[in-house]
Amino acid sequence: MANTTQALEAPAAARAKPSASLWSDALSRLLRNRLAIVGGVIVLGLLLIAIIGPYIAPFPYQSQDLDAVTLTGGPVAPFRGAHILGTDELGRDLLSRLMDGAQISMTVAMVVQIVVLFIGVPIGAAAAWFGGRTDSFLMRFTDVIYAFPDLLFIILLGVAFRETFFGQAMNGLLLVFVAIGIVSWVTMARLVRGQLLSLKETEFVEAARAIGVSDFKIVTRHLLPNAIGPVIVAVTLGIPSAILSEATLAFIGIGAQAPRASWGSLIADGQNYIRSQPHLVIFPAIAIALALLSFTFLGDGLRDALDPKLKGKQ
Amino acid sequence: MTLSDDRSRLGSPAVTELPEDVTIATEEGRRLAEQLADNRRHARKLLEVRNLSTQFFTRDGVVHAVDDVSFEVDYGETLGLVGESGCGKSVTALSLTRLVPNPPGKIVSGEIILDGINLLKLSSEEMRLLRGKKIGFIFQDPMTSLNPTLTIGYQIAESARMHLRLSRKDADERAVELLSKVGIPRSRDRMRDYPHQFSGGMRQRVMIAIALACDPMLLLADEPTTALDVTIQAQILELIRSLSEEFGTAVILITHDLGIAAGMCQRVNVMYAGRIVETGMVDDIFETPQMPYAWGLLDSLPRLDEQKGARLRTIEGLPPDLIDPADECRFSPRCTYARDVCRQKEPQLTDRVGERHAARCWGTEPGGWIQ
Amino acid sequence: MTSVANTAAAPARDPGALVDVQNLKIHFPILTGVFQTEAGRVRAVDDISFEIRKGETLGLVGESGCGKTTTGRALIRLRNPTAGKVFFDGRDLMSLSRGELRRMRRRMQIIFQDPYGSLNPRMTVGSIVSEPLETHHLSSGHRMDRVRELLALVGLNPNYTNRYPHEFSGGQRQRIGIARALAVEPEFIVCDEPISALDVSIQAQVLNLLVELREQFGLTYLFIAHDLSVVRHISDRVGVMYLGKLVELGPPTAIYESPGHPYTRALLSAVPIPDPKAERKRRRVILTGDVPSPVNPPSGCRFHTRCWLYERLGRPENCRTEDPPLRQIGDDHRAACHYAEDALKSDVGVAHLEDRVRRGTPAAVAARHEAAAQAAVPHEQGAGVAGTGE
Repeated sequence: MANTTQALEAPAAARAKPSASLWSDALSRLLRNRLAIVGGVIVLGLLLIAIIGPYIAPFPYQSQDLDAVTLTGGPVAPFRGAHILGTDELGRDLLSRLMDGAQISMTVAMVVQIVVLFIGVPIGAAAAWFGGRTDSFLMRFTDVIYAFPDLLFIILLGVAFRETFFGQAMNGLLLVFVAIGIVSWVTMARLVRGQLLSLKETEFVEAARAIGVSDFKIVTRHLLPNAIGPVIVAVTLGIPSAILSEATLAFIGIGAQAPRASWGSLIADGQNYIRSQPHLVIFPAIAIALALLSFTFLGDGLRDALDPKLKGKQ
Repeated sequence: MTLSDDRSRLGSPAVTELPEDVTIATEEGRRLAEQLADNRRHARKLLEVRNLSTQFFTRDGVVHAVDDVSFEVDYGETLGLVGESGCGKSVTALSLTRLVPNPPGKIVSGEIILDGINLLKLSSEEMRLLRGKKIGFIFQDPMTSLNPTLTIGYQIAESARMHLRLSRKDADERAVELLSKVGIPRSRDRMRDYPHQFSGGMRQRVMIAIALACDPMLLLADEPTTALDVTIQAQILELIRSLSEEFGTAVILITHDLGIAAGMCQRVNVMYAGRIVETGMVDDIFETPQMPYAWGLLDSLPRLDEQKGARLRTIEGLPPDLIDPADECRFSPRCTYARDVCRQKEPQLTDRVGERHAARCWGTEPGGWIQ
Repeated sequence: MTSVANTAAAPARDPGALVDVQNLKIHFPILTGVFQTEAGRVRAVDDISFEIRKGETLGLVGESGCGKTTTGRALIRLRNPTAGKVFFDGRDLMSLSRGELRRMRRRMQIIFQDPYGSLNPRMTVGSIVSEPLETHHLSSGHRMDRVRELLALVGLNPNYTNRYPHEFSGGQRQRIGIARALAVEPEFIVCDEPISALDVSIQAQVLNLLVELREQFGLTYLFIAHDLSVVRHISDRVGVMYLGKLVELGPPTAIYESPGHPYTRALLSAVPIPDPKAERKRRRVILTGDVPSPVNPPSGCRFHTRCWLYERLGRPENCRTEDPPLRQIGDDHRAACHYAEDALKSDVGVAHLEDRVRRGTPAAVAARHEAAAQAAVPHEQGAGVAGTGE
């Protein structure tokens, strides 16, 4: 009677490949995606500049090269002399200021996404897990936030907390970042809810319930590890929009205070010289575009690599 | 008014770029064509597939999904392509319509001659015009084959408008008729409905209506009832059978269900690992199967008309992967009767006792060791 | 529902029953709007009663949406009933405390349909199979040995514990699911369409495995399927469901050879038989239309809108007005039809044994081959299953 119970079939995929988890599979898929690698390298470069930028910058970001400015009678043009990317009208080195701006942009990327994770994931998870009235209440709440005018909210928040410690922290930037985070968690909450709702219905979760696995372990062992891929993608793809929001705010004068400058405020400052010295606008714009594109490429690559639809086909 | 009466209004011959015998749409032309078809029915098959190979170029290597497959379909005949998933039956269907996703797939060699036209020689534009007109399709999943944003009526009439050059009004008329033909009640009202307003069985009926909109010579049904319940399956199979009889449409029925093949087909091709391993009239295939694979498939099915059974005889193991298959009988690793010769050289499809019956097996060939 | 249904639901309780289902109803509310008000309810399972005897396999067949899967889940309390009771070994599952239910889960398990969705893709085979052991604190010292033992038991290579589900074929994944269910040494397993997603040749392998395990461990199965041939092959008794109702229940010979419900007959007649001659001889009843929505089931007998017998009998009124109870119509044979006796007299849908033509392996070849295999391996017994240890 034991014929079928003897070990049979070699595993379908075991031909040549060693046993690999889905994570390492995803990584190898990611590494095959050239755009994603380019994006990833640029992102790493930007992070590096954000961390060690102040130490390797040719000049301190706030120092003024008055001689150079007096000589030219305005902003110094790029690719001449000591200032590779030129200076602004006060003689401050543009490259150094851009490197300092990278720090602000990368901080935005991190802080906003942390805020988004801390608000969006629990709300989404709670809505999905409890369902019913809780779900409907939380989702209506997110709808309200979604419909709220972002800019107005951020400005109001800025005004309300300006005098407090929170408002002063990090040169006033923390407040801006948190404000951006507060208006951007909605997408994350919806994503997490959708993920968990569909995972809750899967048969492996039913199997865990049939075995008697506790709710806590079902969430931590079965639900979250399977939802984490899309969350990573959403975080990565959320970064460019956060950077853009910060740039927009800086452009209209909210956020980084002089003498510090983010890429957005550099553009705002430079627009006065857009005809005579367009490099003051062009270089910060290139920096923003580079950051946006590289995060987007990386995010797209991650999405393709983590896409569960690709799994069974390997 | 029946569909055939309606042929008079099917409009002028379309598409002059095609070889002359492609388009016959007027009453007169049709009568002529029928005579012509009658004359050559004995001489020529509706569809001849010769040495068709379709490969998929993947990262792991070249997958020989369909490997040197040849078969024929007679006018008005129902041919079954039977096999398990991955045996190449669906890729064969895609190849016939030149819808193999490219990349990674490609028809690398062979000829597909439909009613005298070599489909592989047509330009993609000519192929597009021929698809739907000479070959109708029904796929497994009726939900994804219908466009959810267009009304049912539009989707049926679209085909008639495109291929038969009917006016909008005539095409709509025809769609209404087709809908009632496939058994959808209140067909005129339902023209304006969207796919989601239909049940699975009803959607499959709509698919059949679209497939038949241009009165094709060949209907390609790829697992048309796999997604449906058994009572609905019976309805759909009955519909396909009666319509193909009424219009004399030949059918290629692709299925994994041997029961459906037994009930619907006149001839059956059994496929395994990209090859046709046995072909014959349906009675021969089921009564005196020659390939041990066919034996095994029949053995592994519990029977409805059987007492509670003992253990089923099974086929152990899994089908081979089709990357660079060796020159051996592809079933030999799973075959309990295999001998050295099976692993050294692949057998050819050789004739067996019975009408048009052939199988690919050393052991059951005349003089083989399995008798 | 009507009082008829209630009286019908109390047939003599079988003392040998391991699972006893009494008037089970499972309705899913359809909630709409901000305040989640109930707009209607899906009557997935609507007042059914049956029992599963110790050591038997009860097959449950029906088309999609008939409630068979929901019933299966309710039997091991993965769904909470709207009304009615499920007794497992004499204990009401609804009355159990959390802890008691957890302990009870060791005795009842489930095998799922989808070989892809039923295994967590982020866990190794080893951790999937050891999760039940961990949860119930079993084999704490030598858990991985036990996992390897279980894998061998279901016919997998025991060294595959570090592999992930996506590295296996559908049939192998199904075996992993079976190993997970067996880990807690259950008495009762709900097999929810365990082979319907697999290829024909693999189906038979898994079916054989289930039969072997049943014999080896004395398991009781609820075998849910839509394939009537498979159900006949494995079941000691068969129940037929239609639109939330159990319409017929009895031994396979009764269900397949003299069914007492017109739906059963229609279902049987719709099943394709892999036999061209039998197919040509068969008389089919093609049911018209689709299964009605379980939100608004037809009044009276739910099948009357599609029933051929109803038409043949001249549309009797009580079919439209009275819900027929499941009643005794033969030895251990129950059907829910007012006109079951008329159905019994008909020959619709019954496949005739004398028509069989289909052949698989020629008998002579099989016999010779088996003889040769016996000669080659004289000590075949004991090679396969080396016990489960515990």
